[in-house]
Amino acid sequence: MPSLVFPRHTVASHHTLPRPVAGLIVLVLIAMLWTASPLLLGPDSPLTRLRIVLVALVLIAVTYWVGLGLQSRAQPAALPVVMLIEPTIALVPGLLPVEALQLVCADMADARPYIENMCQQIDGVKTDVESGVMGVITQAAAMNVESLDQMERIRKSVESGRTLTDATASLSRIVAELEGQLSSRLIELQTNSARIDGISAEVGSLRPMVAAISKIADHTNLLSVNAMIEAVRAGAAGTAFEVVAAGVRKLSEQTTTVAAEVATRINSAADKIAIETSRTVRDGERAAQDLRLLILQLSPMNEQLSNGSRSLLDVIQGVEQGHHEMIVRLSHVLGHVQFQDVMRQRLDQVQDAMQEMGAHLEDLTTSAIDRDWDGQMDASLYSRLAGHRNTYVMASQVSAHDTALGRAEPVATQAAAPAIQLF
Amino acid sequence: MGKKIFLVDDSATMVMSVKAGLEMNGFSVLTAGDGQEALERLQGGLKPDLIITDINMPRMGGLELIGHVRAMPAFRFLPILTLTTESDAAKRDSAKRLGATGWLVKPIGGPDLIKVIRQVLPGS
Repeated sequence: MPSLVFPRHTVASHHTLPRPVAGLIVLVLIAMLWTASPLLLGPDSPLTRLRIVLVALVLIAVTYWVGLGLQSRAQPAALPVVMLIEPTIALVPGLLPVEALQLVCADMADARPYIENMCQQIDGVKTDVESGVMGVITQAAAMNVESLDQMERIRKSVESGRTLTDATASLSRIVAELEGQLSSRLIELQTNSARIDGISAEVGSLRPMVAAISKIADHTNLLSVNAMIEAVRAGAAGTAFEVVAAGVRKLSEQTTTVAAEVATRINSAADKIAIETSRTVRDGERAAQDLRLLILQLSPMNEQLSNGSRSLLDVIQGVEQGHHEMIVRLSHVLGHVQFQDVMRQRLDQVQDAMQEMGAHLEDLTTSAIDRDWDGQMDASLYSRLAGHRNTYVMASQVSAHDTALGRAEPVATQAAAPAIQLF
Repeated sequence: MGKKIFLVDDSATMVMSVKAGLEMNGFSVLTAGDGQEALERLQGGLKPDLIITDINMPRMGGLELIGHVRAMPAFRFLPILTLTTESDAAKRDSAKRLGATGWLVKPIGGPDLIKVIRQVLPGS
């Protein structure tokens, strides 16, 4: 014999009449009994009608039990009975067969592990996302370190570039100065050459003098010969004169020799001067020519070096600018990954709510099969849900809550507040 | 080295990302995991040029931290910025009343944060 329990809500059967129809039929029956009671039990009885109603209710309950019994044996005849009676029973709040309720409670007992599984899944998501975001941050920081190293190398290159530029500028000045000095040296060389030519000419002009000295020596020799002859003619009186004449002859002979020597040396010196002068001028001109060629080759090289230095500095400045832009973009990236913290907080709130719901269902399941339960809970699920609104931190959470509960105007004023406010 | 910033937040990824962004821009960054740890370090002698703090943290939240910091004579005029997901206007007003310099809502772009810091931190 099934027992009755009184849960808060009832479970509708699949094979029933609609409740309004069943209720109407029962009311009709009661009305008929009410009307017929004076005829059946006599008029003016104070308890006549009440007794009739009570008897009717007892008849209905007995019929229902009989119907359930037939139904449990799969008797077709039970169906109409159950179809009539069950919705009637449903009109009396809290009447529900315990077997069905036990099935519901047993199913709801699995809600807790179900929710626990969902919370574990969410934990996994939070862990994976946190790990991924940390990886992104680590890579961004590493990119910054590498870029800083690159910038340090670039700074050193900039210094070298500037040094090179300064060096090429100095080289240009040196080359220009060299050109100037070369011109001066050539002029000097030509001047010195002219002076040497003058000296050579002066030396050459000594030749006629040397010739004259030789001639004078020859004449003197001739005179000494004549003097000797006259000295011989003079006999003993001319002995001293003969000696003098001999001395003069000797002197003239020496003079002739020296004159010849001087002439030879003058010629030699003049020739050497001419040769050396010619060689010096030739060598000087050749050196000047070589230097001029070198300067001509250096000038375009110097210009290329200057252009290269300037291009290098431009490239370096461009790389430096690129580095600064990269820093700005990395800063943007690091700002965007803050979404992970926002997401984590929202998932934390969802997990807390799911745990709360699981505890609530557990309490409900325990209470539902308690014969002494008065049908009251510490807090309904709806009131718990309403309470969440006060725990939200973000405007987006409040907005989602209001939207889910179908509020006409979700909170928008706080969401419109600026993200940056300085006091 | 640049100006010293003390970052207080219980989220490891927030600390990592904000710290990396600030160091890229030449700041020196020290961190704490909640208000309690931050207060202990300040009382222990730490002298930052700026504090950036979250609001909702375990043990001690940001609002309580701001109140304690402002009570310390050495930090009466120290710039303090809040960086939080909190959207409650009442909490924002509390922060202002307690002496916060600014209220920043997460997520905030890196260049925007740098701009604000340069505004409140002279010489940075």
